[in-house]
Amino acid sequence: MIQKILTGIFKLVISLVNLLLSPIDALITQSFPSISTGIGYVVSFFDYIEDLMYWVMSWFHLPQAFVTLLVAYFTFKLTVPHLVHRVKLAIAWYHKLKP
Amino acid sequence: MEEKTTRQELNESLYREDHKLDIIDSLLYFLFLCIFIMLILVFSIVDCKAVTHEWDITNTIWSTSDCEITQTHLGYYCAADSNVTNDLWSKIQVGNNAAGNNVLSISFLAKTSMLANSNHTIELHGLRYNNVTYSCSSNVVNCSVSYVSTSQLNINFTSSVNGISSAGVGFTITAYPNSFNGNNIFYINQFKLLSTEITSSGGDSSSGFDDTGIITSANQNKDEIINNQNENTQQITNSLTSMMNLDKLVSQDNINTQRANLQNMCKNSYDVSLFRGYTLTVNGSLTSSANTLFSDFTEITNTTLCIQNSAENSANLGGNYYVITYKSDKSYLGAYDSFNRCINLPSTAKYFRVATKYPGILITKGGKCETSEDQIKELLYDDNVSSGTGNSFFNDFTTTDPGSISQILTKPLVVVNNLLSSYNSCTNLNFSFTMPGSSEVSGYLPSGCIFWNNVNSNIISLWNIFVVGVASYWILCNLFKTIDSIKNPNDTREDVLRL
Repeated sequence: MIQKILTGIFKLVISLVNLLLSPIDALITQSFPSISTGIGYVVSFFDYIEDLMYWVMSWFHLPQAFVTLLVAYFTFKLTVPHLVHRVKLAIAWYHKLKP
Repeated sequence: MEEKTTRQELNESLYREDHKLDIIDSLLYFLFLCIFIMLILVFSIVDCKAVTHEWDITNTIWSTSDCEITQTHLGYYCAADSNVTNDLWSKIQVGNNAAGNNVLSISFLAKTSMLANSNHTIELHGLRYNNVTYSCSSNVVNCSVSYVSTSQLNINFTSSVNGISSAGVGFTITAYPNSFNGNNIFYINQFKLLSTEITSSGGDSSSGFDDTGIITSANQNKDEIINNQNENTQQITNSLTSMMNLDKLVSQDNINTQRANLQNMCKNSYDVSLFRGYTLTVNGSLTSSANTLFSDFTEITNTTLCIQNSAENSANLGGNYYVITYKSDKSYLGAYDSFNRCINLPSTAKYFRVATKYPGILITKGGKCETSEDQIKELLYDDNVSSGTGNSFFNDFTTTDPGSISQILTKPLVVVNNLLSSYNSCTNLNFSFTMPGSSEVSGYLPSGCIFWNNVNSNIISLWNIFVVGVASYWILCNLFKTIDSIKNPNDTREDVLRL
C-alpha cells in the first residue's frame, strides 16, 4: 500500500511538472533544436546513471522491500518536518496577527 | 529553571545516545561489508561450477535490428516479447532440454523469405563457452560455429528448404558446451539473425494483402480504421527513424526501450474476462474486396483460446497468418501463428492479443456484444497510440527525443518511481564509446543476476532478511532523530502551549 501511495504521488508530481513545462519544451524543441539536442544528451547521461544504479543494485541483490523502505523513509524525512515547520509557522503568524 | 535543567540533561542524553548509535551504525556497516565480501568470495569459489551449468535467459534481449525489418513487417512483428515474430522467424527458444542438460536450442519457423540454400548467421551475444558442440537438427545444413570474441559466438547455417513453400517447416539448431569447467560460461544476452533474404519492401499486393497489420476496433468505421492505421504506421516509422538516428548516441537500453515502445504501439490487448465463455467472431476484410476473411474464435474458456479457420479462408489464404499471445503479468507469452490452433490461457491470464498481417480485422463478441460495446471499444484502444487525426497544438508537446527540460527536472522522481514500480534487479550495464582511430567499442557488464541466480534460495532469503533488517534498524534510528527534531526541543512548555 505504501508503495502504491508513493508511486501515485510521484506520478502526480511528474505529470504536473510535465504539464507546466510542456510549452517551454515545445518552444525549445521547435525554435532551438540544437539546445534540445544538448538536453537530449544530458537526459541520456542521466539514463546512463540510472542504469548504473540499477546495475550496482543488481550486484547487491537489494530486495524490493528494502527499496520501498528507503524511499518511504526519505520521503517522510524530506517532507513531514518541513510540513510541520510550516504549520507551526502559520499558527505562530496567526497568533501574532490575530486582534 | 528546574525544567530547563531537565531538558538540558535530556539533550545531553540524546546526544550521547546519538553518539552510541553512530558507533553501532558504523560497526553494522563494517559487518555488512565484510559479510558481503565473504559471500562473494565463497560463492565465486564454491559455486563457480554451478554458475556455468545454466543458460541464463532472464535478460535475453530479442534483437531485430539486423533483420532489416521494414515497415511492412511491423504488423506481423507485434507478438510476444519473448517470441520474436516477423517475416523470417517466429520463435527462438533457449533453455535446458528435457534431460536437464544445458542445451541451446534455436528453433524457428521460416515465413516467406528464407529460401532453400540461403546462408544465414545467428549472432549470440554474451559470455560464451570456449568450446561448443553444435548440430544441424532440422532443415538446416552446413552448421558452423565461429568464435568472434569472448562475448560473441556466431552460428552459420544454410537452410535446406524454402520457408513459405513448406508451411510449418521448422528450423532447429542445437548447441551445447563440450565440457563443464570454470570457463564454461554462456550468458546469453542478445540474439541477432543476419540474413540477406528479407527483400520485401511492400505488401503482397497480388493477393490483396497489406502487411501493416494493426487490429482495429470493432466499432470503428472504415475511415477511422484507415486513419488510425496511417497514424500508427507513421508513428512506427518515426520510432524506427528515431532508433536509427540515436543508435550511436544512446545506450543499448534506450534502444531497447524504443523497441518496447514500438511493440506497445503495435499491440492491441483484449481483456480475457470479457470474452470468456463466448464465441467470438473474427471478421476481416482484405484490401481486395474479392477476398474476404472470415474466421471464428471457436472457444474462449478459462483455459483455451482457439482460432478456427473457415473453409473460405483456407482457400484464400492457406497459410499461417495469426499470432495469438496472452498476458498474465508484464509480458506477453506464448505465440501460435496458424489457424485451427489453440493457446492455453492460464487462470492468471488477463489479456490476449492477436497480431495479424492484415488490416481491417474486426473482432466482435457474439451474442452480448452490444451490451458491452463501450467497454470493448475502450479496451481495444491502445493508450500508447494516439487516436487523434487532426493537427492539434498539443501534438507538439512531446517527451520523446530530442530531450526536454521537463525530462531533466523530473528525472529524479522518475528514477524513484521506476524503482518502486518497475525495479528490475537484472539490468546489464551497456556501454559504447569511440576509441582513438574512430573504432567503435561497445559491450556490457553483466548484472548481478549472473551470480545471484545460482545462489541457493535459502541463502538469498537470509540475505534479504539481513539487508532489510539492517535497513529497518538504520531507518528506525534515524526516524527517531527526525521525529525528535520535529518536536523542536528548544521550545519551552509555554511555547508549545501557545501554539
